[in-house]
This record gives sequence, C-alpha cells and structure tokens, in this order.
Amino acid sequence: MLDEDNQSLFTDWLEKHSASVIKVARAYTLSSDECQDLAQEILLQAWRSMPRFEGKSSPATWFYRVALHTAMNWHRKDRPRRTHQQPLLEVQTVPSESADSCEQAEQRETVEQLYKAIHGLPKTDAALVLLYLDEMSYSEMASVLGISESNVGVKLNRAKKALAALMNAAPSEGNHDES
Amino acid sequence: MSLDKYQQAWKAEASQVKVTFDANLLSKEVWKSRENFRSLIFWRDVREVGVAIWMIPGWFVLGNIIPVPWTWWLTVPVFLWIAGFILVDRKLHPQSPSGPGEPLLFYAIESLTQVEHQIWLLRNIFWWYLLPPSLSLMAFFVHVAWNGSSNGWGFALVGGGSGLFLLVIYGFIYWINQWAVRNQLEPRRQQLMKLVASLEGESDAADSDDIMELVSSLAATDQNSGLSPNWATWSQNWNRIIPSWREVALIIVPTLAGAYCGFRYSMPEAGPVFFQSVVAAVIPFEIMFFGLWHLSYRRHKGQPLTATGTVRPNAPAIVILVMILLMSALAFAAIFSFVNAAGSRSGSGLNDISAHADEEAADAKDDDESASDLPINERLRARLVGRYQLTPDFIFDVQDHDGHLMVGITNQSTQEVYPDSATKWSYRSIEATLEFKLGRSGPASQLTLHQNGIKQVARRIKK
Repeated sequence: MLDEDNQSLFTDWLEKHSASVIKVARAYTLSSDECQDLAQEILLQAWRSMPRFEGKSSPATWFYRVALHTAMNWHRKDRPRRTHQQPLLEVQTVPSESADSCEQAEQRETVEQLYKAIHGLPKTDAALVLLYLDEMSYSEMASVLGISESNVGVKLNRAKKALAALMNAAPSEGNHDES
Repeated sequence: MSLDKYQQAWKAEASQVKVTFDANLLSKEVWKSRENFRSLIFWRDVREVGVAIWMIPGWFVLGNIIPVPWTWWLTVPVFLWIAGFILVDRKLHPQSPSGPGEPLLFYAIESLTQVEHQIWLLRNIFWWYLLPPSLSLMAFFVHVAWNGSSNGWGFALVGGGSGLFLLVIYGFIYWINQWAVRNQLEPRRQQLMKLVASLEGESDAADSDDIMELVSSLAATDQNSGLSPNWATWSQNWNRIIPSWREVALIIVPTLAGAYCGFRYSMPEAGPVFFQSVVAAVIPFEIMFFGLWHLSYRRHKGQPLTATGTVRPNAPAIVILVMILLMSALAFAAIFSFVNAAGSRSGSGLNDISAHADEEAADAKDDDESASDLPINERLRARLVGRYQLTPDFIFDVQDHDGHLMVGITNQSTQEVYPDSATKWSYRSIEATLEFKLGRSGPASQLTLHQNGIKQVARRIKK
C-alpha cells in the first residue's frame, strides 16, 4: 500500500504520463478491450513498483521500463485474471481548443495509421518507435532497453526506415538529434 | 509526410488523453496481485520440497506399522537430502523474476541465467534426485527378497522384478526431464542468448530482435520456474496422452487381465496372492501407459505445449490419473504385504529364545518312535490340534480345517503344514518343520520347531 505522499506523487506522475499508458497499451494490443485491460495492468504494475522507484533514472524512463515489460508479459499470462477485475481507470479524450477540427482530424488519422504500422513492426522496432515518437533522447532509450546509445542509433535507424516504409513515406534525413 | 510530422501528431493526440483512476481500488488490486504471486511461489516450493519432507513422517508411520528390515530407514536421509538440496538451490538461485522497473536487457540476462541453471539441474537430475533413492530402495528390495525367498529363483524373481520396477519408473523420470531440456529449455536458452547478443551488440541482424519472444520466454520462466510445469500445460499434456475413452480401455483391459492372471495362476514361492496380482496388473499398466505416452510424444513432436488459463484435464485423462494413484497405492500395499509375509516366514523372535532350546529339545527324543508310523487321518490330526507355547508371546495354534493342518503363530499369519510322517509336518513356503511328541494315546504333549539348524520345544497348554 502507498502512503498519502506517494499516492499524491503517483497522481501527479499519472497526470503527466497517463497518455503514455494508453499509447503503450494500444501499441501492444489489437482490440479496445485488450487495450483497456493492458492499460489497467500497466497502472497496477506502476503503482506496485512505485515504492521501489529511487530516482536513479528519470520518471519517464522508469515508466517506460515498467510499461514495456508489463505489456510484453501481459500477452501470455494475464488475460484470464484481468477478465474478473473491476475497471481501475477511465480514459477520456479531451479535444484541444487551440487546433482546428480539420487539423485534429488529420492528426487523428495519422495516429491511427501509426498504430497500424507499429502493429506490423518487429517488436523491438515497435518499442523503439514508441520511444522515438515520444521524443525520448538516445540516452533515455538506451536506459529503457539497457543497451548502448550507439546500438540505439543503429536499431532506431532501421526502425525508422521500417516505419516509413509501412507509412508509405520516405524518412527525412537527420531529423532526430541526440538531445 | 516526414517523421517529424508523425511525432507532432503523436504528441497532439497524447495531449488530448486524460486518465482518471480509483486509488483505493488500485491499492486493493496491488495487494491481491502480490498475494497471488506469493501464493504461486509458495505452492511451487511446497510441491517440490514439501513432497520430500512429507514423505518422512509417512515413512516412519509405515515402518512402525509393518515389520520392515533396517534397510527401510535408509530412504529417510535420502528424503532429507532431496529436500535440503532443493531448499539450498532455491536460496542460491531464486527462480522468481525481479519486479518491474529494470531495463529490458536486465530481464533477458536474468531469464537466461535462470534457464541455464534449470538446464543444469535437469541434466544432473540423475545424480541428485534419482540415484540416492534408487540405491536406498534397491537395498530395501534386495533385503526383503533375501529374507523372503526360499531359493535363488525366488530371490532373483522378487529382487529382479523390484529392480526392473525402479528402473522403469526412474528411467521414465530421467527421460522426461531430458526431453524437457532438449525440447523446451534448450531452444529457449538459444533464443535468449541470441536476443541478449542482439541487445548487447552493435549488430544489425534483423532476425534476432523479436522482443516479444524474449518476454514470452520471461513469462514462461516465471510460470514454469522450478521442476514442475504449470497447470494449463500440464492439463494439455494429459489430454494429448489420453484424448478419449479408447485409450482408457487400452490401459484398463490389459491391467485387469494381468490382475486376473496373477490371481488365477499365483505361485506359492513368489509371495502372497495379492502381491502377485498387483505385480501382474502393474506391468501391463505401465507398458500400455508409457506406450501411449510415447505415441503421444511422437504424434505431437514439434508442437509445443502452449495452453494457458482455463485448460483442464478431460474425463478420460482424469480416470487414468485416478487409476495411477490407485495403482501406486496398490503397489505400495502389495510391497508391504510381501514384506509382512516375509517377516512371518522368517519367524521373528526365534533366535531370542534359542539359548534354552537345546535342553528341551533333548526331551523330544523320547518320542514314541512308533507314532511316526501311524496313519495320517482325521483322528491323528485331532490328536495334534491344540495350543503349544514356546514363550508367553509365541504360541503355536494348531487347527484342523477340512483335512488341512493349519498352524497360526502369535501376531503372524496362519499357514498350512504338510505331513512328512505322522509326527513330522513341514511348511512349504519356508524351510521349517514341526515335530509332534505323541504318546500311545491322547493328544500330543509338545511340538519341536526345527528351523535353521535350531530345535525349539513348545509345550502344550490349555486353551
């Protein structure tokens, strides 16, 4: 169980990263029911491991570690258990006031295409693409996966090419700097 | 569209998502999942260590109920050794996966280490798990065969049969573990090694980075940690071996036929009829069962067990599972009946009283020699019937049952004796003779037991 401080920390943290929960869940599932189940499991695992978070890595890095590991494990063993569980979270989509509806529709369509492409990628590439789309640096990606930054460069380059091919678009050169 | 645009669209979509959660419910779920995990690990350890530990009191109970030779107790330290070995191994190489929050490469290496250790355990299962109980149980079987057999053939039959029984059982356990190493653990190890190399190295090999496979392996290690498979794959395997009632019939019919033959054509020198019936049933049962197992293995070669969740054994498989338990219980009961019979044949306690036997045996020489020429009939048997006391707790009870002279001994089973002459009657199952002292008329006044070159006199007592 978490004390009140940790609980408010978790709530703050979730406000910043809640979208990532849903994104990872969508990237690793094919139906909305599965997505909801997986998102709940990620939340559960994040809550469970919160007391062990020592701040050695950034909250975003730590979250992705938990989320990706949970997502990959969940496929094989957690489905039967989750069918008996009450819903833990509610997901709402709040339209942005700043963007016009036409632009929003276009972005939504692009995101849908991205998810389709991610489902078609090899799973390592899928993980890297998720981190890349979330604008993580090479060092953060390396920290999530536990590999060297130069290795991230090699793999990400290939993943981006694969994504571009699936999206029917050529990747632009040098569009991601290590920052 | 450039990749930058994808990032922008992705970010814009993310900013529109809002997630709310119920903190109390989440706390309860965390507690529940932690308890479930603890329970999983606890019951796995109970299965593996507990079986060995719980066998020890059972062994003591049986050893005190049934007269067993000292070699019975050799198996107790063996149980302690197995339980201790597993406990120490679990302490040095914990099989439970680490909690979330580590880099993915960490889990890959952790899983690889666990799989490699599991392979080592199973490859060496002969030395730490099979050899010690084989030696102690074989010593027990040979000891029992030696005590209970009246000749070399009986000893070879009982000792060899028991040895064969152990060989089949332990051979099967060894084979199934090596099968698991070859077909489950070794491929997983290769896969994990490739993935670790891929994650650690700078290579661009496209065929070696399926991280889903990596974590599938992690999940499999989590569920399959230890020596026993998970419930779903276990059930699926049983359903493969016994898919229908046809397989049940293929096992039960030869088993019943064997049991009938063992009962109908039992041999007096091979132990109690019950023992022979069970042995004759167990042999075809094992042949048919392991034959079907082998066929199932060949039929499903290359099709790994992938069941999860709600898979349960079907009705025919449950029948055979119950039958295996029943046959195991009967096999144990048969062994004990054999040991019991062997104990009664050896005439326990005779050596204790042999010191004063010679003097009394001398009196038996005063028997009326002519009595040995008397005709063997109902009248003669009536003169022999009665109770003869060797010591207060060792009394021969001689009775005439439908023309058969039956001799019961305190706390031992009743056996028939056969006439060599009117006064000398011998057992057939053991080398021992009873010599009655008959006067010119009236009942016999005493009997002398001749066994192992020793004579012991028991005097008639009142009923």
